[in-house]
Amino acid sequence: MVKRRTADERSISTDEAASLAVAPGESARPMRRRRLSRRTIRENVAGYLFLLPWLAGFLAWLAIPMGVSIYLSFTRYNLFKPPVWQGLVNYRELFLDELVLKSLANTSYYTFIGVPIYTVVALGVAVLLNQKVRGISIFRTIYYLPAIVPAVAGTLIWMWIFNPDFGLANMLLKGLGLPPQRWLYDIQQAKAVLIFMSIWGMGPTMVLFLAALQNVPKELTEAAYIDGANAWQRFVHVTFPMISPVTFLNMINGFIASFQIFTPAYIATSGGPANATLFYVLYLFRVAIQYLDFGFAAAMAWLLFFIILVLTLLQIYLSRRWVYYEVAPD
Amino acid sequence: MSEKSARTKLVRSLQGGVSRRDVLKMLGVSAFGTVLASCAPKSTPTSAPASPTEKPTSPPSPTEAPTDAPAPTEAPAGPTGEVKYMFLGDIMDVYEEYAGKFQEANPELTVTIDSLPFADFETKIRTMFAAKNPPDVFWLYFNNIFEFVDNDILLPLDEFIARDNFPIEDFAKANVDMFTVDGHIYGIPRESSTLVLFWSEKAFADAGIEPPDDSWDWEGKFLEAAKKLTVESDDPTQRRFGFNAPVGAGNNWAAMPIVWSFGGDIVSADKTRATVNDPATIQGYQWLADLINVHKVAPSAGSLAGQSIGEMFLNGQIGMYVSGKWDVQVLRDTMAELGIETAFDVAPFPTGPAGRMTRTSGAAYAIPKDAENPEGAWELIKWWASYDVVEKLALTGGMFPAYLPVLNSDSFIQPGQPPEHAQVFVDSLEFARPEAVFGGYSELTNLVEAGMDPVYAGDQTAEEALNEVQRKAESLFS
Repeated sequence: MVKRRTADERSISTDEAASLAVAPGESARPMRRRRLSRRTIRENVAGYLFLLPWLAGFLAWLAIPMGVSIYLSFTRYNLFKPPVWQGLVNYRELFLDELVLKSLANTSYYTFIGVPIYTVVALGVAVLLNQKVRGISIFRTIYYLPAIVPAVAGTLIWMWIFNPDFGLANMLLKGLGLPPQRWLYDIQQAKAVLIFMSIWGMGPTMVLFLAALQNVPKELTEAAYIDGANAWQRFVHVTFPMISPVTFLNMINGFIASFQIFTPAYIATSGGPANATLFYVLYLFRVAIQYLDFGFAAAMAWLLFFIILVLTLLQIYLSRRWVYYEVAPD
Repeated sequence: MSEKSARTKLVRSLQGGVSRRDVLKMLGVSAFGTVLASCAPKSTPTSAPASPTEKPTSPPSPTEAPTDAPAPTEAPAGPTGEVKYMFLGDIMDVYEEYAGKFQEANPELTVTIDSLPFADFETKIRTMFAAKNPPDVFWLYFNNIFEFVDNDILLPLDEFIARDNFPIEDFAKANVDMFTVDGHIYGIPRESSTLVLFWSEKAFADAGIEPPDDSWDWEGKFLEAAKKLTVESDDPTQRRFGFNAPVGAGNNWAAMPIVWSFGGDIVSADKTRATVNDPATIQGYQWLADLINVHKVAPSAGSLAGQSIGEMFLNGQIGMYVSGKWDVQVLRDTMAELGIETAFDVAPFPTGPAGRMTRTSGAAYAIPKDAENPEGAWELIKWWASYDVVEKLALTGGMFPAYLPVLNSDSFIQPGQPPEHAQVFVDSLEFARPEAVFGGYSELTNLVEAGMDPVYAGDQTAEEALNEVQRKAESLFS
């Protein structure tokens, strides 16, 4: 009776709700242990039932395959015979395999050069699209459109454009009086061409920037203007810090996605010429599907996981320097 | 009082409280959601291979053996049940038609046919084996015979052959040998192949030169003709290449016979070491690269990517290229589609310093050891390998049967349709040999292709590149 009145007369705050649902044995504050009320149990059950669809999918398609993958990375497995335990052999071989190192180098080149370029271009386009010009929504649509072209179709179009004999790119160069290039068939140029190709899909990134730009409070930019800041100074000192959380998000997403680049290399160059575009996931795919060495491929996958994890943690750590959140941390 | 009770009610409802009805609703949503979650797209990069890298594609043309058609079901008098057939899917309608006929003759068996394009097929068949759920009959490519036998997943067919007096001698010996390991036969050959020289009648007529014949040699008459055929021009439609060399990613299998005719190979005959930097091998690959960079009779690797090689060939923009019987149907279809009158023809491979060589390959019908219905599977194979079915398959134009009675008949030669000298395909079997496949062959091929890229681009000599490849290839044999 006493408890009931307490629950009725006070509005429930988050803290108190949490303490009401406190598990037996734990207590948020010094109280005598008490059984969970039936209502609390029902609420917990309801919560778990809501989680169930996601949980089932997560277990079946993420957690359990990840577990199997870790196991396989310590075995030799070719699909026909049962996996044979090998201990750390695969991981040791990872660092001895020339192509693993080459593919890591290729992927790093693509990521560390491509992502900054990509992010800067997306930001630049977002700034342009943030103006109150007539027909701006048409422009926004146009710049977003390439992102919904399927990756394979887009890659085929670009292969056509960059064809050394018949492609538009070389025709353009010829028109300007410049020598034709081999583009995707040139060992030095192939990765750069792939980076260029990736930029046209910057739609979603640009949209995020656009949203962030529109949320920059006008008062701040006006105040800066009044104080005598020019456009560039306003951008650097007001706009950019205000959108820095989204910049940070886009960079992390960009790094994670770029490190897993696969489709353009698979379609356009098959990892060539001379393994210049042999990216990490493409090589992983080849090892698994062509050479049927699933153990080694699993080890490669986990190495990639740790590389991306370390990279992301590093970015998070560095973000304290330059990312500005308006909301004070709790 | 009423205020308080009203407030109590409000607070109570805000706190929530889950009635039985709500629980049932949530269970329903959970179940539905779980089903939806299973359909959610994966976040991992998916690949949609337009053409498999491993698939043997002739430099200009589509892939070998198009996907299989569904397997017809057969029900012989003895065995019963379901027979599952899985193949690449080419010539589906013939299989379907004869499935129906087989069903009529054998009502106790049902056949289920499954098919996939080459690269997907190769992956799928292995996953099916791994899941211990293989089909009863499947299409076995000769490249894979050792891998499958080593893993002990094929059923030897010797007993079936002996028991039913199956006329195995009616099949090309080279192909039967491809599927014989340690004296046991593991597959009934379905198809064979030879690589020949396709030449464009239009191109040769325009250039005013004599068609190829068997006096040709690669370094002499062939090169001469290729040079005469080649026309440089700024206008792509006026340009003609004498020869579309089999270079670039995924095309080494078509270059191999040329290298062989120089006396080289990438692996030793006993498959114990790589011979990539043998002088003869280097010479062969260098000659190929020189076609592009020195004599300029061939387009650079990949520069014709995305073009329809068949169209260019028929229009006379490519003088010659290397391909097999599978291309014949495609070319005929293109001719019909575009209304092209002048046709194409084939000639045997020219001779090289070490003689005349070409490449053969093959595929067979095989039965997995774990097949649920091996008896039914065997009946199905006998039906597939019978004269009527093979004849129908051959009549489509693109199929090169390993069954000699049909191979040597007009159903294969098809007089009256291009190519006029279709007999060349059969005759080439005399000097044809398969690639020396072993466990690491795929990796070795990839190393060679990647290593040769700069050579074909003209940036490196074959000697430098292949020495490097040889060094990397050592690890495949340790």
